[in-house]
Amino acid sequence: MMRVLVADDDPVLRHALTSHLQSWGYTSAVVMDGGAALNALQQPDPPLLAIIDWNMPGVDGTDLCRYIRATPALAATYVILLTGNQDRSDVVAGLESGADDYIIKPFSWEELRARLRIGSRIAGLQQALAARVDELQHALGNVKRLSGLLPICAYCKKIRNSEDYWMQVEQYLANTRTPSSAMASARSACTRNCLYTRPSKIAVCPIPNSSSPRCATS
Amino acid sequence: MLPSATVPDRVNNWTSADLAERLGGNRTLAHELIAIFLLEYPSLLQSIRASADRQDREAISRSAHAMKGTLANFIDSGPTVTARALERAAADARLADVPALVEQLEGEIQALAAVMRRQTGAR
Repeated sequence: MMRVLVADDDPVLRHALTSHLQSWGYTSAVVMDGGAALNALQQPDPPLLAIIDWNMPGVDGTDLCRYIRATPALAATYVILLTGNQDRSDVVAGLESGADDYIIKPFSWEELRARLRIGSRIAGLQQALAARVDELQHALGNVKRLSGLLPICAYCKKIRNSEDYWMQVEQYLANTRTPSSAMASARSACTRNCLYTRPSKIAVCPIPNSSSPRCATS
Repeated sequence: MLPSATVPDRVNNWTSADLAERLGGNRTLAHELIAIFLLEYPSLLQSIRASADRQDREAISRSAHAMKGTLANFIDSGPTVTARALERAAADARLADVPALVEQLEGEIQALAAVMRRQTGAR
């Protein structure tokens, strides 16, 4: 059940909105001015939908829209701005402040319901997209960590295993299949051939004529 | 208060059934909204009167805007139109028009409130 923030200083409209939202399957957080709306938006798990009156005491609706758009945690919040201002310039100013939609009072309840349905769908998609981006960032972090696990010498192409021993690729692969036997041969090979001990990044073994530590074998 | 002859017919003919229809047939909600309006409008009117007495343009405009918004939940003519005219007069600095508009608005609202009380039995 999606939660809707209702911010309006008109007690009649607040009650009507609360009643309709409930009958349409939404839960509502209802406040009577911009300051209280700001406070509600700063709580953990803020509502994904907001119906905000333009003209309110204190912080007005367009200020709230600007705050929402400037706050990354509220990126998925879908805002419907309510107003009695009918001028075209007001509509433009309201949308430019960051509102996703704009409804002029008095409005049809069925129209509001339809617009909320759109807002609900878009906010849900935004939330799913944000969750997917988080997953991808997490996966990217894992890839970076995994790539650090396979240092390959750029010169001799050996791979350093988790125990800091350099191995031929074939040995490394065999080692992953039969860990105990491969590990034994890898240990002796690395001790004998590889002088380069701790590359800081993957696949970076300094070139042979460098003065830095290097893999001395071919 | 204006004599009933000067109150628009739309006010005298206003019905709670029309309001309920606008609310999707919800008569209970209609009566709840009327009760809230009857409770709230006196302080809104008082705020308009006080700001008009002070000739405070911003306060007149702000309180007339709030009254217009509340009235628009019930009726789109009569007092709603007058409240809009009052808001505009204050915004345009036509303070000479304010007293008459306040008087007209008060009369229309009192008439609407009387109709509401009569139809719902509210006090």
